[in-house]
Amino acid sequence: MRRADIGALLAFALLGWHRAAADRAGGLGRLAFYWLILLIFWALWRATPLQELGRPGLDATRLFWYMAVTESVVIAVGFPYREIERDILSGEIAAGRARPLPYAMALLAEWIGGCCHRLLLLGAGGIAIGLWITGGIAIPFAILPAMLLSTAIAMLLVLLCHLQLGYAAAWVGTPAPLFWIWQKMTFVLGGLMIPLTLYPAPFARLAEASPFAAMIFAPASFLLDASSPAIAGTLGLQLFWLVVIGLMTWLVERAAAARFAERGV
Amino acid sequence: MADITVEGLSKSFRVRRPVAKGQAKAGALARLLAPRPVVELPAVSNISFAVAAGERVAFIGPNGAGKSTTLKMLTGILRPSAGHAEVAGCVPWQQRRQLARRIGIVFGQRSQLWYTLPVRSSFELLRRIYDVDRARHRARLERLARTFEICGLLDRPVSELSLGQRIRCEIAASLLHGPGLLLLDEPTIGLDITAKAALRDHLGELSRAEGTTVLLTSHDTGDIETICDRVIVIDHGRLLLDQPLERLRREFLQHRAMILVTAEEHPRLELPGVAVAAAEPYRLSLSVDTARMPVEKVVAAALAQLSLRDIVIENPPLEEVIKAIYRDGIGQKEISHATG
Repeated sequence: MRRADIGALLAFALLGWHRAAADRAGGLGRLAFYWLILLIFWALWRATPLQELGRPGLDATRLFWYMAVTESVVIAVGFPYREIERDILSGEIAAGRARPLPYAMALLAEWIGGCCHRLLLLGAGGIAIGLWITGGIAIPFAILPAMLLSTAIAMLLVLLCHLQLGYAAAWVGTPAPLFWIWQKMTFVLGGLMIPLTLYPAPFARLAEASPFAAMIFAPASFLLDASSPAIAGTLGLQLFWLVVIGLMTWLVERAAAARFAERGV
Repeated sequence: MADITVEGLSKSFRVRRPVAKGQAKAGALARLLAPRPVVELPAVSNISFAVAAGERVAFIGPNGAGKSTTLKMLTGILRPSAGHAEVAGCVPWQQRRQLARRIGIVFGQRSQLWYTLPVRSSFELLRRIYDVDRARHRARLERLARTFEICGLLDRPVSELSLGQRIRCEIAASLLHGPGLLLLDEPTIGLDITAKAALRDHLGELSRAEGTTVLLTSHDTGDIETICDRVIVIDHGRLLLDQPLERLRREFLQHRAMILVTAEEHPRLELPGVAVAAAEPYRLSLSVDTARMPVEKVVAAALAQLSLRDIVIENPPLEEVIKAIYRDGIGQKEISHATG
C-alpha cells in the first residue's frame, strides 16, 4: 500500500464520520432504540433475584453497564453488508473496482469512520442514561483504555464479518439468510444480553473461545473480571481472531474478485 | 505509439443451461436436482485492433454485440478467455490498479460519484484516490467545470442532478487526474437530444484540445459523428468493420430521416436529394441524401415554405448500418485492410 493510499483511506474514514453526523434521524433512532433496550433489561434484571445465581458482585447495575457496552457495538455497526450487496446486485461495484484504491479497503475505512461517530454518540447516551438510572458509572477508570482498545478491535471484527457477508452476494445473490445465522450466533455465543460467565461451564468456555465472544463479549468482560491476566488474555484472543478473520476476509474478497473477473458484474 | 493494442481477444461466459421444458413440469425438488450442463456463451470472439495515441475511436454495435464486454476487459474488470491486450502500457487484468491511474473510465449506466455527496466532495475524494496535488486539482477542476458547464452543479448533491447533468459530472470526474486515455461505455444512453448534443460537443472539444485518446462504445450513430474520427463496428462478438469515419459516413450514414409536422393539411416540399418517405395529413416524412442536400438547407427550405409545428431529424439506426454492412459484404475486407 502506497502512502497516498493511506491518505485516501483517511479521507474515506472522514467521509463515513461526516455521513454518520449528517444522518441525524438515523443517529437519534439508534439512540432511542439503545435506550429502550437498556431500560427494558434494567427493569428485567431489577425484577430478577440475581443473588440466587451465587455470583457476588453481579447485580443489576453491573449487568446494565455490561449491556450498555455490548449493545453499543452492535447498534453502532448496523447492517453495512447491504451496501456491498446493493453494489454487487446493481453492478455499481464495477465503478469501485475500476479505481486504483481497493474497493473493500475504501468501504471498510468509510464504515470505521461512521462507526466511530455512532459509538461516540451511543457512548455519551449510554453514560447519560446510566447515570440517571443507576446513579453512577460502574466502569473503573483504570480499565477504560483496555476497554476502548477492545471495543475498537470488536468493532473491526464485526465490520470484517460484514465485508464477508456483503461479498457473499457474489455467490448467493441475497446474503440476508447468512446474516441472520451470523447475527443469532453473535447474540448467543457473543453474550449480547447475558454474560457468557453465566452459561453452563463447558458451553461458557466454548463460547468465550469463539470469534463471536471477541466481537461482543470481550470489551464488556472487563466489567466482570478486571484483573490484568484476564484483560491480557481477552485482548490476546481478540488479536488472534482479528488475524484469522482478517485473513478470511482477504480470501473471500480475492475469491469474489476472481469471480467478477471471470463472470462479470 | 499505440495506446491500445488488442490481439485475438475472446471472452466466453460459462452459464448453466436453463431447466428443460420436460423438467419444468416436474416437482421443485426434481428441478433442483436435475443436471444442468454448463455451456459456453461467446461474447467476444477473436478481435484485434489498435488505437494510436490521440485517436478518437468509436466502438459501436447493437445491444449485446460485445462492446461493453470488450471495454471491461480493456479496463481489467474482466479477464479474457483468450488473447492479449495492452492498454496505456499495462496488461489490464494483471495490472488493474496501475492502469486505473493512467486512464479515465465512464460507465454510462453506472456512477462513480457518491450519490448523497455534493459533486465537489466526490471530486475531492477522487483527488485523494488518484493522489493529485491540490493546486493541479484546482486548476484542472476549473477547466473541466468550464468545458462541461458544471460550475453551477458543483455544490449540489449528485442525487439532485438530472441524468444529463450527472453524466457531464461523471465525465469531468473521469478526467480529473488528467488521463491520456478515456474509455467511455455508452456515455449518452438515456439522454435527451439536447443533453446528448451538449455532451458530444464538450467531449469532442476537450479531447481535441488535450489530445486525449478516446475509445467510446455506443449504439447511437450520432455519438460517432461528433466525437470520433475512426469507427470499429462489432456484432455478435466479431469485428465487422474498422475504417475512418469519413468512409462510414459516405457509405452508410449518408441518409437522414426527417419528420416535419406542419399546420398545412397536405404539406409538400420538393428539393433535389430529398425523397418523400411518407405523406400523411399534417405530417411529412423525408429521406435526405446529405451528399446532395445538407440537412440545414432542408430545414431552411421547410421553414420558408411551410408552417412548421415540429421537426425531428434522425440518424440512421445502427441496426440499419449493420444490415447494410452485411448486405454489402465489405466487413471482412475492411478489417483486414485496417489491421494490415
